[in-house]
Amino acid sequence: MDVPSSSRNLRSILSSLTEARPGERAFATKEVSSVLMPQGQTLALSETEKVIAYLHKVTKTYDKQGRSLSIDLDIRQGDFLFITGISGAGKSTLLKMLYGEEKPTSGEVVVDGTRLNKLRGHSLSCLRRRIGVVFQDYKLLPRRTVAENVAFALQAQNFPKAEIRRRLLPTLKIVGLEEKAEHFPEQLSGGEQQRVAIARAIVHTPVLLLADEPTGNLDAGNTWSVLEILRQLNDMGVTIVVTTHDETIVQAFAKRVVTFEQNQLVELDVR
Amino acid sequence: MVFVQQVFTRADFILKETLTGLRRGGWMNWAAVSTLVILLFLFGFGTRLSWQLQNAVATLGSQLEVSVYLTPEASGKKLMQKVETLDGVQKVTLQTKKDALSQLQKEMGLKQDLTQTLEGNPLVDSLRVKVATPEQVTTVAEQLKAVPGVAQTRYGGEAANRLIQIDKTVRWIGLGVTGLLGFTAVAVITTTIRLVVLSRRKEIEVMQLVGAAPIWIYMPFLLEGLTLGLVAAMIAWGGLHYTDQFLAQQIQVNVPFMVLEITEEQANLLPWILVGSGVGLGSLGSLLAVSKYLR
Repeated sequence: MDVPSSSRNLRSILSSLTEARPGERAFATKEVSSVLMPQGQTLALSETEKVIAYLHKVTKTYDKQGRSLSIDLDIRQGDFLFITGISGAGKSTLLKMLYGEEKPTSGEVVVDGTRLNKLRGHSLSCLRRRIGVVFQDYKLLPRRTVAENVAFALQAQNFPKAEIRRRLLPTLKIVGLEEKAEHFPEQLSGGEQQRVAIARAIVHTPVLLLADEPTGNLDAGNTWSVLEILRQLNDMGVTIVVTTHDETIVQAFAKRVVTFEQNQLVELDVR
Repeated sequence: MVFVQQVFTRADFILKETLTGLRRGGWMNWAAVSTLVILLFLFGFGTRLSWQLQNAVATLGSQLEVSVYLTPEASGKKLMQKVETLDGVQKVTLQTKKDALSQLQKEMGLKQDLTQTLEGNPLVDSLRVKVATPEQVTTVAEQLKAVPGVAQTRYGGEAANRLIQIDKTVRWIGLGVTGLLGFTAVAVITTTIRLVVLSRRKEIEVMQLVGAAPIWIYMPFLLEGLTLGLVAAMIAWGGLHYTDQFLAQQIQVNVPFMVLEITEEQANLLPWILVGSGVGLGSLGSLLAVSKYLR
């Protein structure tokens, strides 16, 4: 797999992307010196404990019998968090609540200071501009090239043309696809397609990257290369949340692991 | 300002998407446009006919003259003085049966004396009664009817009343037909746009996920419906224009005394009404098509 070889190389690419222009968002530079806690107290948190998203006392009813998930979770800056559990356990539902596709039945969902409970329309799109999402089935547009697929996210967010050009190539380099910018998705392998999807999800430098079973359709080699890219992004400071049912990759990559046990989200001890 | 800037940077994108959408709609566009054309044509035709009738009513209703036809035995000269004393009467002019006959003869372009052919004068004396105000026309006409020697009275108001009835009927039929067709047109447009939405649902999903503003996602579909409406309005307007010319010609030839006209303001207003209705229905159709995706 032609994953970018050296991490140092990647670091320089990323820093060129994130050289903060005034007022511009960049990886790992978001200052959240304090977070308003649910109880109303303002707590000063140390650098490593910045909470950039949380679900507080969240329940989500998922069937007519009234069975529901119950979730309490803080996502901290720099997390490489894995959500595991058997399929149907609620992993995707949890992720969907983080990008506003599903609403909690009760409790509070906050991402980057924005409460998602009743967010819709334009405010929801504004929140999604601060998030990147990657799916098992890639969700690439078949009639557009790799470059167009990645640029599509920026166009949809009204980035100026010059800025789109500035960001496109470095982002493709991160996922190792600068050579295939003019290819169409059907000309790529599954792993390459997923890397295009990752490029699209990070090209606007989101504060949070969500990946729903990103390796579900991939063979072992591609799984590894995709996760390697995610880990390198995480090293750069990108906060990443991944759902998976693949225990081997959890053991290899996870910094934090949460899982559903009888509809209740619990944190597992990794080390 | 920022919004205006965005509109311009995104105009090419939206226009391109609109055109792509129209292409993807294919023959459904034709179904939508033709339904709209029929609707707008009938609507425009009905509106114009209604205006014509209303104008005719206005003209007739403002006529202050009552024509009084006497019985064959009665003499106009004698009755004149009595009629002049009636309340509301301003002026009375007499047309004797002799005058009437010679006028008729002149109008018909006959050289010979009609009295011989017809064995006497079959016409009657008549009075032209000028009434002071339009409100008094009916009362004066009623009073005149009661005068001995008066056979019948004619005044514009009567004709006007009949035209008002016709106008009412036209409007009810128009309302029913346009209501029904309007419903059909919106249904066809909604189906057309929905097909295009379905063919683009993947792009819409991705746009939603990457945080495109809803307005940019749905603008192409709105513009598409709007375009269908606009095209239909222009075709309907063209059709109306030519049928109007044709009908005016036919009326001129066959019933030259009939005056069915619309004012210049009305003539200028009609295309805007058509464009407004077309664009309105088109946009309504597309709004309905995307409404369930608008969250």
